[in-house]
Amino acid sequence: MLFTQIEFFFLLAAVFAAILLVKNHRAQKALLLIASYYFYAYWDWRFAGLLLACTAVNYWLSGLMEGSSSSRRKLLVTIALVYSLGVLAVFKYFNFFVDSFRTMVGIAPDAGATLDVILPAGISFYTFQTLSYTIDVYRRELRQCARFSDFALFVAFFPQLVAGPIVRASEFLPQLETPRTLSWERAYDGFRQFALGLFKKVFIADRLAAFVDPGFENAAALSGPTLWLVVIAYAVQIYCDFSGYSDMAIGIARAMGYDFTRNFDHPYLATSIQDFWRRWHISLSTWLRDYLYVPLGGNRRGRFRTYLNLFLTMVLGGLWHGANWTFVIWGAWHGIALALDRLLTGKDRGRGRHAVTRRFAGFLRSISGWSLTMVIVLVGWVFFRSPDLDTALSILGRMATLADGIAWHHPFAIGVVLLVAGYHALLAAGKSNWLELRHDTVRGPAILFTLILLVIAFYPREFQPFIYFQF
Amino acid sequence: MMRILVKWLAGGTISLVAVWVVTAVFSDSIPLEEWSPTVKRNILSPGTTYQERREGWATNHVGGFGLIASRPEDLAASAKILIWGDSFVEAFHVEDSAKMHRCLTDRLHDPPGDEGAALAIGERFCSIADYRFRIPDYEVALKDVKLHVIHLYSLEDTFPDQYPGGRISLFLSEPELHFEKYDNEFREIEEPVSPGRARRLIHQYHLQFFSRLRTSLAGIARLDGLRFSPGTAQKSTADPAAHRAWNRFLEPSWGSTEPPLEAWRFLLRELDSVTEAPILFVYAPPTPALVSGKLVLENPEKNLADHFSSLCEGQGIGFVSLEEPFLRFLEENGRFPKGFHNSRPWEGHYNADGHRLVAEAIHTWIQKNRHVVYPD
Repeated sequence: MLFTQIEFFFLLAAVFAAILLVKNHRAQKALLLIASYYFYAYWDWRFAGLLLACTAVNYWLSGLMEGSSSSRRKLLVTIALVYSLGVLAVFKYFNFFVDSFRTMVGIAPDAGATLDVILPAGISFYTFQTLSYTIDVYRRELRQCARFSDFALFVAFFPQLVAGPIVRASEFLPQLETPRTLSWERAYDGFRQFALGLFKKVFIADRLAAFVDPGFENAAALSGPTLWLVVIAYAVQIYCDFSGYSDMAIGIARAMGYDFTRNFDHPYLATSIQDFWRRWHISLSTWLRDYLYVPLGGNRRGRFRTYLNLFLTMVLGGLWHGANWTFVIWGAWHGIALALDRLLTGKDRGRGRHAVTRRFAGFLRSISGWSLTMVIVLVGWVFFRSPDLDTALSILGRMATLADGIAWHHPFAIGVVLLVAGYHALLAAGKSNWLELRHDTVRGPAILFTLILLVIAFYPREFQPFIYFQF
Repeated sequence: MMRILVKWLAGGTISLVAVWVVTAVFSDSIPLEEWSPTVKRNILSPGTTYQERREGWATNHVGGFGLIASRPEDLAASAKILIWGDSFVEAFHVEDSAKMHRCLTDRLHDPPGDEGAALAIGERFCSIADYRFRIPDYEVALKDVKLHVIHLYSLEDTFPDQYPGGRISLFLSEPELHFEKYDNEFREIEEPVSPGRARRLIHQYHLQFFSRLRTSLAGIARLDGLRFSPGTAQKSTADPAAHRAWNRFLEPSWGSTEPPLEAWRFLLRELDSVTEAPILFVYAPPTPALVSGKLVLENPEKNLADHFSSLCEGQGIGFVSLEEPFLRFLEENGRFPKGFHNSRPWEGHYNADGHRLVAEAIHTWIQKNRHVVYPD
């Protein structure tokens, strides 16, 4: 079920009504759990079993860790990792690895023996979510959750189940221990965030798809300047699509009395690539930091290992997005950029041996921090969006040489890009007060209702799933 | 609490006004229709306008008999050329002055003289089967018709047994070749319509958003198309490029590569039998096209088009192919005669260049066949 489906609004209304009617806290949680499994089973009931199995195995194994010896705990966490990542590998990466191996040894990639399976929706998200819990219990940073039903709700809570944000058990489980307080202020806050997310997803991202999709599909025939517009439009599309989903998820949860941390913080205002990753998909970047980068050694084993760890973390982060070399390259590109950023402008700045290096770093920071970051990000998006490496390289070549071709000046894409640029300029200039949309003003409801009505008025005719559903 | 409620009501009102303004400018308007006893069908109400925003950007003015972009002097012309077609001829997407029939009229009057005027009778989803039934009615209504031009986008319409859903009139092969008339056919409205006061207000004040909202809410209230039971996801094997609506013309599925000669002879005979005026087919191939970044220049229907052209010639019916003018235009200008910047500038309906090219092709044929069009 999608947040933009009519059926979802019926479910939402039913859930809110039930929460308001049923005052018992445990009964409320049971209702939320049932609603969450219904939400997931609506897409495909068969995979609800997979979700339940993943939940049960991690809960069971982390439960066995209580009072166990260190070696046994290590064994249990290893089993949990092998199981969870194994399931992910089978459903998401099996075909990719088999095809890559065949290509490597010279066998035709389509010579049978791949799995013809559907990628379970949200598997990457709930796998990471359950793993974070198991690893936290293993590290003794978190106590075993007392009730299986609470843990199951943490994993399956429908606002964030299929496309994040990746919620930490340490943030969410404590919220299940006490009854939630519902209030008009919370309801309005939730409504505001949901409306903003809905507008970003349906009005901006889905309508931009009508330009971006054929733009990438026909890139070989389009002019260089048109491709720049296509790639910039894609940057806006994926931001509005994904942050729109996060906003809706956070808004729904907030109205129900649950708080998620923000997942995006205006990433296109970043002045360095490190800054970008502090603002983009924050729940994933912090997950990768805490459960991958730090265990790899983080920055504690010298400069070279720090750069290598950054690179490996980003490559695996890229692979998390999808089973395609384009995602691996995208991750590697960001890994290299992060390492270089750290070398030239980050914590290692003072350690640079050469004054030239330090001056260059200063130059980069002062003159071109933002624009350089944007170019890095845009080049990354070309790999991320392209169906294969050849297409990505062809697009980058045509962009670099401003190649001749069909010129396509899509008025909506141009208008939205300018609008988003203007909005970011206002934010950068500190003129964001008028965007608060308070409930006790005329402006707040006026803008929110306008956004919702615009969504209804310009609802796209072609179905556009959330981009991050495929991950 | 009361103050907040008042502010929310004010906010709600402001948002309604804001959305009304935005949709009045940026969304397609709702056409106003009425029954015409003269041509015996529902037509766009003369004197009204229709604005197109989704594909192209134009405000269409409806003239007499519901004909779009028809001026009184064109309707009064002593020699009329009628261009029949579907949405390509309806041409909501370009301004009136750029439509093919207006371009043709301009050419007929250059140099100035009384060469008559062209009128377009276009309607989305219509096919040759509809023209066959409508030609007699319009000849009576418009008078002095000197030439019928039938615009074909691909040869799909010339094959029998298309549109199994029976959208409008049909060309069928069972039990024998015949045309089947579908009365009161206008856009699935089965009864003659007469616009009510509410619809006139919606049209006049561009309240299309509220009209569509009402329709949507009514559908939701009836739970139309909604599913509440858990389902099973299907693995998608669709190639998005191969299944796009416009690309279907590049892989014709409505007939074999063998020309349906018998059906075509019947079709031409039937058309010829309903009018005294000469007939000209203007054939637009689905090429040039752009598929997955590659230009498709070779017309997949070329063989069929050649056969159809020969058959037309044999029956004294004109045939003009736009294949060569379209390719030449693309080569010279790097642009397609179809498509718009707010849709896709390589596929879809004709843009202003496409309309001009069609008009030029018809005009050239008329110049070569003046004795056929203007026998006296």
